[in-house]
Amino acid sequence: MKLRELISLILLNLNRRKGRVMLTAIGVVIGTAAVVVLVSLAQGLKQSASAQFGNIAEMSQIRVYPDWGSQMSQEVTGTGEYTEPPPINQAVIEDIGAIPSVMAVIPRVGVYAMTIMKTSKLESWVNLIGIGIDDLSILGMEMASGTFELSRGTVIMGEEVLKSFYDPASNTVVEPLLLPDLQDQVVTLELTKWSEDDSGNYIETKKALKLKVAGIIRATRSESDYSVYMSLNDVLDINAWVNGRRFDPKKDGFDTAIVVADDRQNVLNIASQINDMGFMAYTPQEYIEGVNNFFVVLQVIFGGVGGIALLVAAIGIANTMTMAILERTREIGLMKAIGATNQDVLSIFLGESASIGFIGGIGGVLLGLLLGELINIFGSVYMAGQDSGMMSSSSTGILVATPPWLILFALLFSTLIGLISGVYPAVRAASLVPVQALKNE
Amino acid sequence: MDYINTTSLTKHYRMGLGTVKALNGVDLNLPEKSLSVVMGPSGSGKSTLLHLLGGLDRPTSGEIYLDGSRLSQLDENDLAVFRRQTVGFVFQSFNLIQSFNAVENVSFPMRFMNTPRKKRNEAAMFYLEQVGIADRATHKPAELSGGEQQRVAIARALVNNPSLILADEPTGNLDTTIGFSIMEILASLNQSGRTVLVVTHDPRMTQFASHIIYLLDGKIVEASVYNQAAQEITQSR
Repeated sequence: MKLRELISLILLNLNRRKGRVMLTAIGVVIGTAAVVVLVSLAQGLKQSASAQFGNIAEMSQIRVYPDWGSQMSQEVTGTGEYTEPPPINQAVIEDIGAIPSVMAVIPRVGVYAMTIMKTSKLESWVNLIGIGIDDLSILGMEMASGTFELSRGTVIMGEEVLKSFYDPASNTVVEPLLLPDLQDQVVTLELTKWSEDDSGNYIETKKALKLKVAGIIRATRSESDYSVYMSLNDVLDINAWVNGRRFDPKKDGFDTAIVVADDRQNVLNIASQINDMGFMAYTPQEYIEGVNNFFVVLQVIFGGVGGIALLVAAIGIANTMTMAILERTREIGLMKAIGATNQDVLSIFLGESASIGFIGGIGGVLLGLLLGELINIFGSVYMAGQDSGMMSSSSTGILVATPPWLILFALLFSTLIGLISGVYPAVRAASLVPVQALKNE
Repeated sequence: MDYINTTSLTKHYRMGLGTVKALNGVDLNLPEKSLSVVMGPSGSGKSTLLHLLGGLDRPTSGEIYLDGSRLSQLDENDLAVFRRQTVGFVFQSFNLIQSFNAVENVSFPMRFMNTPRKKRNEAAMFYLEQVGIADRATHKPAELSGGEQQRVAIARALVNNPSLILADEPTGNLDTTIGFSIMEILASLNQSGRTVLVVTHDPRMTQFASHIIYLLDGKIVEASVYNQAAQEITQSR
């Protein structure tokens, strides 16, 4: 039998049992829709999680910390005496710099004092980072305005920092309607430190620095959005004032160092070498890989839940087709009497059950897309209500994302389910002895 | 060689613990273009004989030669092709597909021949005309009388232009007048050159027959023996 004849006959047969075909297909519709929605949900969650990962340039960066972790575990187990972990001093910076594929090693230091940045009317509590380079472009940052060049007496700040300025004169905390345009402005940095006097009282000491804003970093949903960068030496000067002692690059360690790899493929390799040196290397890649693995597992679990619904649907198809054989035994006998081969009968029955699966698959994909759309609409309304302002730029509102391969997969899979469900009934139908089938009343 | 030739044909069925010998050594020779009537009481094996000749079932032992083919040598597929090309079946209960109209029922066998739809419909209309119900072509079986349904079934048996027509009690479900008209159609098919074999209770069919086969308990018997037995059956009632 030619495929065209076969299909036309299958459609004819399905058409005369519309009601039952539809009822059977509904099982497949629900199963397929469940698979589509759940896998799309996992996919959507993965995408919105990935959107929070920050800029791509960070993917080729490694953060190096002193290995506090091993010290803590020694303390807990009591196996060793407490010793400071090796500091990230200038020699270590140079050692790391000697690892192949390392483009740059940039030391970072925080300010050990309370810092408030003031303009003429507004002020903000800022996170100051002293960074050991004079060109921030190496970190992959893009500028909203101004320059990458960081020299002494200047600061470069993230775009989100601008939003954190408030008017201390007003009692209510209201975001300024107009963000301050600080580019090339001179701001005052007010530093506060506390020291103990002889009688044990804390004395507050303040110091003010004038700094010029050299550039504003475009927001990329990473740490730089909320940071104010100063030259490393400026920050070391401030810390010398706070501690009463100058930083010794031979002995003292930096808080952290940022290692820039020449290619993101080498990041994990470099990180393991740094770990071997006795420091803690942290890469966003490790984290992203972990998160990705989590979402793959989530997709499999969600797919499995949908798969159970499909399995139930498969049993429904098998049941319907077996019933159809009982009802159509005479018809099968007749088909054989008028010259249908076993192969023809097999093809017809397999085709019918595969078609039920396919019809259910189409319905399931459409229903799944519709449900996904509804979840997105209601989800974004809900999330808009929950939005904390700070996250407004990062929440995309997409919860359910259906990749094209999933639609194709769902259609193929539901058809396959139908086909497999039809194997037993179809083989039974094909192997009926024509005479027995015709005698059946 | 004869068109139909069987030698020591037997067919045994398992029924519970016992075996039913539906056919028990049948030797049959029928020439081409004959019209044979198989007479016999219920259970005499006449339907079994017809099914074996049509390749719907296989004998327990013995051989069937039909139109030069040795049926025991055909595999399942060849047997399907044999049924499709050589044989046209007519059943007592018509076996029409209820959701198909007359044309679709008649052209149904041609689907397995991959005949294009246009040719199928032309052929179906041609044979519906031959059996005299072209005007009912678009009606479904439920809208047709018993006689009309059997005519559709005969048209279906003819549509692949087989050389052999096998009819199993074709008038069994019809009243006498209409039954007789069906017999006339079968006789006319024989006159147009087809070999026809009819299994029936109805003695009126014998007036068209070139050969009459009497079956008793799975064996072919002489007319006198058969009539004797028939009388005994009638008297015992």
